[in-house]
Amino acid sequence: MKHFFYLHWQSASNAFTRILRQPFGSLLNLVMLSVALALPLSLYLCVNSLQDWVGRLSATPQITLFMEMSAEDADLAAVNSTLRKHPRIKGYRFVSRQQALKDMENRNGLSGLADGLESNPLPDAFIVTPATIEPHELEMLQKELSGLPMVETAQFDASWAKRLYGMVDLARKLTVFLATILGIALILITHNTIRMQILARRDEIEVAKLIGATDSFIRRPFLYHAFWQGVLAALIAWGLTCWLVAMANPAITEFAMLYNERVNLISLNAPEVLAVIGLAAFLAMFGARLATGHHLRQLEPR
Amino acid sequence: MIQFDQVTKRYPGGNEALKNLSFSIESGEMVFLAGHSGAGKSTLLKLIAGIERATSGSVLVNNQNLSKLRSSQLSFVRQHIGLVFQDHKILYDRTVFDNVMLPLDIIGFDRRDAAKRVRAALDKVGLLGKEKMMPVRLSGGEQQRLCIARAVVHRPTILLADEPSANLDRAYALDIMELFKSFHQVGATVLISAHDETLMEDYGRRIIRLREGQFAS
Repeated sequence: MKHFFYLHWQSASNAFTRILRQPFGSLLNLVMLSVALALPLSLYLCVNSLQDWVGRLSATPQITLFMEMSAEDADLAAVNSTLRKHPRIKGYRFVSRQQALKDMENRNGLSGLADGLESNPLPDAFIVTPATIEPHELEMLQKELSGLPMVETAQFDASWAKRLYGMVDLARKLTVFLATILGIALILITHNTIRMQILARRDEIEVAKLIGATDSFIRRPFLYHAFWQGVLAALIAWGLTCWLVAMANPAITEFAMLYNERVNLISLNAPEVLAVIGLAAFLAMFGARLATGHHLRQLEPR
Repeated sequence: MIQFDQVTKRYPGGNEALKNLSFSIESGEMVFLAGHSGAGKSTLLKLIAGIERATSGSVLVNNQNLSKLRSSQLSFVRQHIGLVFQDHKILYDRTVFDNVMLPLDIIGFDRRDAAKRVRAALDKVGLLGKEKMMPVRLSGGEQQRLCIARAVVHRPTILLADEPSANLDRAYALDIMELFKSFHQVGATVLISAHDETLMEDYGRRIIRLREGQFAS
């Protein structure tokens, strides 16, 4: 067992020094790989930040429940407790009919409006913030809420929510598409790098096979080479996204201030960075495995 | 140790290198393999090392039937065999020392003990002073001895040498024969091929003579 780890440690360190020994060629490769990673990562950051912003947006889809004019305090309390327990509701506030009238007067400069009316024409209302922005769920929630006793209507601006959600969804799909394409590119790039490595070291492979090297012994340094390449490329790509965030954030913040919004790009968190490193290493090793499998069969000793 | 039973080897294209050959070599024996080039000497050695597979018949090495082993298992058989190649097959991108280290790396020898083994092997073939050199700076005879050091460093039970003395003058060739004799004396089974029979006859060992893939009588 000790021997097993020793062999792996040796291959890993040899592969790493091999990368360092050809700094220029390795760097070109790493830049290529890290660009392939940085593009979908940057888009992911944008989508993520956009989603975060949408979540915080003051105009988050809201459903307003207008009560029947004849609703009594007991009815209000019943609706209140339903809303409090509902799992798909993030928050709500109650606006009494008196409060609503006062607001209206203040907002529209209609002071004295109430005096001119015989009675308050406005109903009591609950303003509900749903826990979801997914249009279908919103519609379901609206139907459910409008069915509550003594609720006259439940209203919300569906088209606005749909449009916003559609935009974020499109961006997310684009990210997935780009990540898939560039993931394949990453596999192909390492496949090609490892293929070149194998051809450059074919004498060594042939001799090693002749004197008893197993396929896994021959494959191991190439897999580690790919592993390091994946890890280093992921680290560089992470660095690039950090650069993007640092560069873009002041401009975005300034722009958003004009609309009184607080928007900024959010950097990758630690689990995300680890996931990117792991995925890049895996894809690179997969490419290398394909290359070694194919070429080692061709290099059977004669 | 080594047993051939009605072995025929036909290469793609129809060329029959060995025809229905049967013989055996005992453990600890030293045997010469004679014949002109093209007589099948190299093919015979390649069959023992599992580099080529017999078209028909069976090749037994250490009581293992090589034709029944998968190629991944053949690697392990080869780890117990020392091979000296006619064209050396030295790696020119690393030092003399690292060339000899390769077989020990393959069987996963501990690096510190391995260094001692490598120096011992180099000492045996008289190259100890040149361990840090690159192989291009060695003479033809020295390269051949480097190849021998690599073949014996992991102390194989079988040593196969394909024309080890080809292209060497007689004094060098005798040197190398003496080396093989000393490995034989410590218990290895040794099989050496050559087209020049004058060298072999001095040793009074068994000689297998081949002509066009069959025993020459």
